[in-house]
Amino acid sequence: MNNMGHILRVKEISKSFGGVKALLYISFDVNEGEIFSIIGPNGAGKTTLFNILTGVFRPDAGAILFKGKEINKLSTHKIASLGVQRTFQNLQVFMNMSVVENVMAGCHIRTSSNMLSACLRLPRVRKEEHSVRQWAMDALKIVGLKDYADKDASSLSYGMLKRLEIARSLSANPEILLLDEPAAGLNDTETLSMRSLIEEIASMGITVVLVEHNMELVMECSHRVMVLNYGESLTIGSPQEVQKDPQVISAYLGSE
Amino acid sequence: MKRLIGLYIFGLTGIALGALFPDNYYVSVVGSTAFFHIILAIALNLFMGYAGQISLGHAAFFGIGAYSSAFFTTNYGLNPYIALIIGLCITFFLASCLARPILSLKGHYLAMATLGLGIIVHIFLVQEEGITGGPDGMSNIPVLSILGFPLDSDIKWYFFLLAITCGAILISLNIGASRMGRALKAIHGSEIAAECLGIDTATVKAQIFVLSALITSFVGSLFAHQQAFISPDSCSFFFSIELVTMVVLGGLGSTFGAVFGALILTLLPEVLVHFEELEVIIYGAILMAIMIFLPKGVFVSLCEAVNRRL
Repeated sequence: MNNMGHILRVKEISKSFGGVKALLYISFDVNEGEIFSIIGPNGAGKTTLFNILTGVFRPDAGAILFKGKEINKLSTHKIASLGVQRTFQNLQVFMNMSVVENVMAGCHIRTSSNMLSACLRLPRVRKEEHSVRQWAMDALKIVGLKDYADKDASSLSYGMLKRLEIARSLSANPEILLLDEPAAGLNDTETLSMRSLIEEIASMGITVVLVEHNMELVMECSHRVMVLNYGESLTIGSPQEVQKDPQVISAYLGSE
Repeated sequence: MKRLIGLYIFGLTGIALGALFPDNYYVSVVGSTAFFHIILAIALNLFMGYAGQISLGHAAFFGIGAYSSAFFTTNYGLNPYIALIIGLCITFFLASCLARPILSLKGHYLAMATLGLGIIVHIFLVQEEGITGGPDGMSNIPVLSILGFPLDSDIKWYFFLLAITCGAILISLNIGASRMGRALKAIHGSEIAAECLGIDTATVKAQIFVLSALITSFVGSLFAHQQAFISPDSCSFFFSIELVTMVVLGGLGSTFGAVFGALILTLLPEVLVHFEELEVIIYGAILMAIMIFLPKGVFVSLCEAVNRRL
């Protein structure tokens, strides 16, 4: 794969909190269109990595290139507007809004009306509202929540909220989607449909970076897997390669 | 249109009451006060209810508007509208300068900072006797005219304020159902998620703070002209708290919640006057009972109850 195929390049990222080194010289490239998974025991630095990729935290050292552009000094909302979207391990659904409004909020970067034109509800705003609702319904359809559009977000089950968060990210038209433990807390059926949702998202041409503890899900749908342990990258490779790596086995399952 | 049905009901009820009982004290005088409170509650609800922030200092902006109108019309004989615009400019300048540093604070700390703002402005109004007339306030504020028609009776003010109130309700509803409204509610729901969706939370919060302050200042100017008199008591810390109570009582985040909250807090003292010394106790008891039994506010709780029945 040449450089052109790398949508995301992470170079030598380090981050510590006080004395705790959360990430140590992490480097990896994500190819356009692939499902790239990051696994590792709890506290390995997976969520920290997502927070750095989205600008919530600043790395102490290193660089992040998104489509060749350095993004590690940009603010979170700037990075998002370039086409990087994420979901959260601990759900961050807007409970004060309806299901469809949540997803419509995701369309923020695709629209441009300002406070003044909103006050006056100019024709431009009405037109925009119309397309935003359409985009939101499209996204809800993909995750299978179309029938719940006008319900309060707070009335949805945990599994539905996970899908709602994904719909909200999708409605922003991302080029890359970072999913933080999408299957955590889901039962087997829900996990199975989450897997097909992730594969559908990838088939739409969206690059997926997946942090997940469910090994079955990771091994079955990922193109490549990176293993983190105590902030260090142990290995990167195909699911088969990673599963056979002795370092991974000892870190993950404990050595005999 | 379904979206604006509440506004139509409100406007038509207002017109009907004004037309049928033009000389009734409760309509023309209490009604006008209610309209002032409704607009102020709507403005504060944009900031508190939509964006989920808190301000314990909105009376400061009310005071700036009222005193600008009073000062520039009585001392310099300026046209009331120019005085009103000067008030808006001062508010805009102050709110814009304060917005970013203050709004980077959250929760209790934001409450403290806005509280400080309210108290500083109040102290200025009381102490700077040369400019503000001190605790005695300023009187002889001229009558406001619209297109040559002076607002020289209670019922004229009633209809004028009814129109302004309808405009405020419309603006609030419009913002609620727009890109910016969703951005505000997103900040309320989860600031980190809003930021990750590409919403510039710091800018959006600053914008709504300034807009809310401008509306409050505008109402302050109108209030000064309607009363022809303004004193620091009208813009004290207690008034800020009263505004917050209106918004919370009616239902945070709902335009008509703010309307209901303002109506209740305006009418309750008028009704309770008959209980004489028990007035304050009953007033407090009713507010407590509402918050215990309708914790999401009167209007929002009622809407939910109706929805469950349907």
